[in-house]
Amino acid sequence: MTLTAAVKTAEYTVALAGNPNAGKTSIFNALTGTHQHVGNWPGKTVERKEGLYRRGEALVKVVDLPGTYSLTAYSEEERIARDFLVRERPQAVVAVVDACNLERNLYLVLQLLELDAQVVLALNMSDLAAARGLQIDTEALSASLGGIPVVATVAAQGEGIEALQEAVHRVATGQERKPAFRLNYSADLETEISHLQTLIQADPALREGYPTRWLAMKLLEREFDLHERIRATPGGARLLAEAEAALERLTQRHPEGVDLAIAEHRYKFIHEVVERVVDRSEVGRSPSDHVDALLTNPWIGIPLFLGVMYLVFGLVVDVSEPFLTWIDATLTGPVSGWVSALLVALHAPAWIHELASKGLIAGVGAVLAFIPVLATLYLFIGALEDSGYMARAAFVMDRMMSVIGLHGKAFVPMVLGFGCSVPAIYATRTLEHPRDRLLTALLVPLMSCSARLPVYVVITLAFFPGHARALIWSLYALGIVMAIFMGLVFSRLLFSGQSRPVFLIELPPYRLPSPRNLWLGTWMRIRAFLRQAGTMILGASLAVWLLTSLPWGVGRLEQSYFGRASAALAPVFEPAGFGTWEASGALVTGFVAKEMVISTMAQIYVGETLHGPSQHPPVNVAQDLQEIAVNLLQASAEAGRRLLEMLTPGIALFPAQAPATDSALLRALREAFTPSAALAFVVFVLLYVPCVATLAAMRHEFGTRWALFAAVYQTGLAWIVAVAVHHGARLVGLG
Amino acid sequence: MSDSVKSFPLSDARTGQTVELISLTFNGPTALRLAELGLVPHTEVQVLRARPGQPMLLSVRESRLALDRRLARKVLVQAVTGPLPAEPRAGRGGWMRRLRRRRRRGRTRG
Repeated sequence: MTLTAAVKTAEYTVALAGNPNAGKTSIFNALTGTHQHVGNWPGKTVERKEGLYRRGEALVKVVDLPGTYSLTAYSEEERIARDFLVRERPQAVVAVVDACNLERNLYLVLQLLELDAQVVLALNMSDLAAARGLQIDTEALSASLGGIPVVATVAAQGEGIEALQEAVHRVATGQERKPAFRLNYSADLETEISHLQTLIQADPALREGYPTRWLAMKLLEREFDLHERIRATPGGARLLAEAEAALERLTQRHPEGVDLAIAEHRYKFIHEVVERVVDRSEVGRSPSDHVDALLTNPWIGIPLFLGVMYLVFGLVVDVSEPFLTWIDATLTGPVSGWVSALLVALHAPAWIHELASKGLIAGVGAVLAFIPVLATLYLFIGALEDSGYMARAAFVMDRMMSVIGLHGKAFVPMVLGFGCSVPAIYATRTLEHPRDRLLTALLVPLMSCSARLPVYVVITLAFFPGHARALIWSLYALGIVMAIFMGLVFSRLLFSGQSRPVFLIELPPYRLPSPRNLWLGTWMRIRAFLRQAGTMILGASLAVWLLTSLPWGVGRLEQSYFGRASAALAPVFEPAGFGTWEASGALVTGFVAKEMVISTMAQIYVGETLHGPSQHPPVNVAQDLQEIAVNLLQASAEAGRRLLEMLTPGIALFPAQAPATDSALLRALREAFTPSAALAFVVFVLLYVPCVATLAAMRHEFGTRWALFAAVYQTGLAWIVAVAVHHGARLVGLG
Repeated sequence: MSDSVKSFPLSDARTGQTVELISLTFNGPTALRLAELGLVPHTEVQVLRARPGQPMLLSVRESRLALDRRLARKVLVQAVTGPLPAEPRAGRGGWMRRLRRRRRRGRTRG
């Protein structure tokens, strides 16, 4: 049975709620193991995790709600969590609470209880609390909160998970009585709440849809996004008018705002509970503060962070490369051999051979090539995140990033963009606000990724051999300048309604990341990538293969549909100086992968074959497998060597030598382009539509509309800048 | 809120100072968010780091919060411990200013 099918037959649903950094992911992993699925909430850019576990006969579905500090609709995450709890009414809600930070964490628990949720409290990281000298009386805590089950857990070690499942089971199956919890507010508030409650009671649509006391309170807390739904019900308009009147009366006595008065009252209650149940007589000062004193100092924190980013960048690009080579060698070598041997044995027609070797295997290779990169990225970003370091990095980088309207954390995806835009776009997940996430993702492709470098190298070597290095640096700089410019434009125009959210984050205590959580998170996200983005990349590379081979039996590339389409496109590039079918053809294949720009040019200008017709020796599966294994070992050793090299100083941002290019291509290019057109061409390659993998990642994260928007704006920007560069270069006397 | 207490904006508090929150001088979603993170009246706040041009680093109810200065300006507090903001800024003006002050002091003495 597949996971999705099993989820439908689950006996009951349990939701996980909790503050960010309370260890919700650990609890989720401890409960479900590998029986989980990572996706997005429908129509949202917020990650949704779902999983399953078995308890005795019962199959239990677990939904991991986004980590939130409260259930007010302040952020998208909170709205999602609240709506899920109100609409789906899960049979149990596990409130994951950081035992070291009880007071702040209990605020959310209180809101869950006020929402009438069937709460089980998981007192997580109880070992750390004990180590710090905090003694928590779980029974007293349970009693203070209306008798909800309280289970001490150490999720990273799997401690207390069974007891938690047991408690959840009892609550979900109704063996445990519903907690009788009610927090009483000041008399004037209570009067208005009960007044509104009677109105809600009178309206069946509202009575059925929401817990009445909760809805009454939400009206007083000015939760505007509920208003529309309320207005749609028969008694809705009257209720809203009454609520408005009640608010007016209350505001006279609570000038600071009724919502703030309610929050204050909740914290007053929580403070009393914590005083009662926590013995803090032996608490020492948190060692985190001493480390923070160093890391948040800009003179230490910023260089350190740049160093860390240099390391991550190097790891993502360099260390994953041997594995990339291995995947490539395995696919083009043994696997192609097996496939063609199989096809020969089956007497398959020639076009199937072509499709398999040039379309399918190449396409699969293009998808698999991202796995080593993404795996290293997720592992390291995960480690930075889980250890608590990322929040400190955001703290020191905030001032710099705020210039272009971005959050301090956005620095990480931007730097990763120099390696590859795909992992960089996935790295935007670390940002909290959807606005920041989208804005960052739109700017990331302007960072020149490593696949564009070969194009710069070949063109600059052909036309400006003496200034190649300086020119390549200028192209990187141009990308950054464009990102700053577009950042300013987008935050003014696109997100003008939403100003940069004020910088307000929690610096979680430093913790050792759990390898199990890192590994599971990495594996689940890679699976999601293969399923969602992988199909789109494969499709695009098949489409290009099809276009280059049709009409069937076409001799020269120029006469294929691909050549004709490129010719039709060529006039568009006339103003930039490179309006030939050859140039536009190279750009079209560059859309599939930027690496392909040069190989297409070689094929077109010099007549080299794009993927050489592969002649395979007779198949020997055992020998092949052995070879694959040996190569994998060698790749791992090479990755290890590079890792060591990374940790020792010695900076080489660019590969030492240019990719091997024959002078034939350089000569052909010099004939085909004028210097000013060549310059415009590289600028266009720098800025134009991100490759299909990047678009697939954007679509996966932000939906089709934003992926299309990214493609259109970037191509437009690239065209304008390329035209400007072409004419500018001619003005200063470049041919 | 009485006028007898010496209140000042949180942004004027200094590193190492402990203050008590009096009120938020604004409302709306951001004010509510601050309150939900534990910044409600009568809460003790420790200022772990207050450096110009950086967010402020606070200790609130066992958690560490980084807070934009623009926001801190709208949070009214009163001193519990530590020097009052009206006193000269000893040791917190950066090494340049400290050096200059030392020189000036030397000159008056001589």
